[in-house]
Amino acid sequence: MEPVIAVSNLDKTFPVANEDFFALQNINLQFAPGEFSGIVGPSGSGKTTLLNIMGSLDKPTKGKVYFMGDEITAYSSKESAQLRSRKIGFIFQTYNLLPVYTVYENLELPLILLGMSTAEKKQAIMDSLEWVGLTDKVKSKPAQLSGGQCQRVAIARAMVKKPAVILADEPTANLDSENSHIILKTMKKINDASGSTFIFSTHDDKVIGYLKRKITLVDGGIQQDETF
Amino acid sequence: MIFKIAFKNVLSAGLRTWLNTFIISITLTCIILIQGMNNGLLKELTTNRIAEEVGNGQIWHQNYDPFDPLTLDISHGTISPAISRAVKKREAIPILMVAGSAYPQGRIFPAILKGIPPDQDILKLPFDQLTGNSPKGTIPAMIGKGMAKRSNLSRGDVITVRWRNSQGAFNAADLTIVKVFDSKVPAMDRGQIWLQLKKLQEMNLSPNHATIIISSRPVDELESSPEWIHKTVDDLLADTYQLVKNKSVGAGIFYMILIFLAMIAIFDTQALSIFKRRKEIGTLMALGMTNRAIVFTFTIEGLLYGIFAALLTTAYGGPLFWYFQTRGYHIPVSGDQYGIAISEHLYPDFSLGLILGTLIIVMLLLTIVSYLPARKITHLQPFEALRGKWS
Repeated sequence: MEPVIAVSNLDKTFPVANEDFFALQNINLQFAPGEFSGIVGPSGSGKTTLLNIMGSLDKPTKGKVYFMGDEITAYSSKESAQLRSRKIGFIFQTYNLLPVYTVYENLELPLILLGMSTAEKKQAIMDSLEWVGLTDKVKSKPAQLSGGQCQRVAIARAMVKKPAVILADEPTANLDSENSHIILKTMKKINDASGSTFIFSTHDDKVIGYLKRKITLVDGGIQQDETF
Repeated sequence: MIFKIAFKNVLSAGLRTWLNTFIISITLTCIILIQGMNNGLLKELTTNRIAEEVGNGQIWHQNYDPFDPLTLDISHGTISPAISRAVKKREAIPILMVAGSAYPQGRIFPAILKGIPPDQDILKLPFDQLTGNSPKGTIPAMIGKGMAKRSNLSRGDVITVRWRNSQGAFNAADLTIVKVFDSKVPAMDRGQIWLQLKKLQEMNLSPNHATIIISSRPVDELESSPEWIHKTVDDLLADTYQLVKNKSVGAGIFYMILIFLAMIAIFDTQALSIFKRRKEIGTLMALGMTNRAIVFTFTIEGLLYGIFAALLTTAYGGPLFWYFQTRGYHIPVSGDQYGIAISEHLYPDFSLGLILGTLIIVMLLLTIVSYLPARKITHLQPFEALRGKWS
């Protein structure tokens, strides 16, 4: 089966005091469709940088990334935006919901970029909110929701366009234990039902407990790649 | 979609939005009001002067200098047959000017005696009153309200005037004021005593002579000769145009300061907004919005301040403009004391061109100052924006 994401000989360096600091070094990875995987490691190990490059939010210094067979590292800024719009959903540690919009409008935004009709948008938004159990919050604004509810809205926003891949950067870092489990169960349920590939960046043991595959990153290099 | 996002963001900015809107609105109102006053002033000055003084152009005797009354005795000549024909066809009026002195109630002050045909209908002043009755032995004369006030004369008063005729002999006569007319043009009023042309020609011993000819047709259509110099309407109104132009330059500096302050406010708001909303920009990028679309969104946000300001200006400026246009702006000192041809009320001229032109200029500048801080987003990497960094 063709991998949904393939990373080949990837390096990422940052200039630090006239020298190149390797944030990622010689990364080779493949993610199959429907995986529920996590990149784990301590702070500064390069998890978020790798996730950003796979999500076309950043470019590597060396190496290539393929998304469903296409080399995305050669994409222009506009092509990258189109890829993110159509095929990738993001979940962030701080939810990144737009505060001036209601829950409905936050979910509507990625669908507007896809040019969906009003009826299609409404159906997709309500389906997504049903998955995360927040159909009663459509008119609420993020400030009126708890942290757990905000993250569930963020999950709904990531999955509303039915992307091939959902990239979640430390999704439970700002949540208590109970909410973390609710979020993770929700994401697992979506993964099972939709077949979307989930890739986490985390150092939270609660998240690691749900993963089917754990890639351990230390000092920018892969130390271990385990499948459960 | 971009409009919707921009609209929501602008509304959510609360007080900041309304302060910016208010500043731009004040700018729009001031520019339209002051420029409307200037346009109204130019319109009134030119209309009044054309109606009461200039006509459709003039022909001056070659020696005539309106700023030198001492040369008036050599500034008249015989009206040519061609001009006489135009006068007969009521297309031109000859005016003779003679320097003299008036002696109202034992006082003395210099005056210019002006002769005009009473049956003329080119100048919109009631010179037909010069044919009115006067006590035997006196000559009917007219003066303006300003002259009447300064010399303490009124209708029915008799004054003695003295002049030196074209032969160099001094002579005197008694005049009866048969009419005190109201003119908005100081040049027709200040120090002027109006008589019938024929009478003044007799008094000056210069039959068929004139100092200037006022034409009802474009002056170029009248015969020219070396002795007579053609003055077009533009030549004669040059000082008025210059006056309004000078006022416009002063007003222009005022507009520039106002616009500059408004634009600084918008630029500052936009720069702060973009800085504060870096994460939001990153999120929009992650959701798939292109950098260009985000720049466009921020530019539209700036433009929305202008649209709100235009609406606010319509709400309070509309009635204000209407009030001034219908009631006029009262000038506390009468116009003749300024030395310009203006009445007690100045009516501004708010043309559609002025309003639309002002709006377009302000909107264009708003678009530029909104775009300038936003264009940085073009080079912003999504991961940097998400981290709240700015490279």
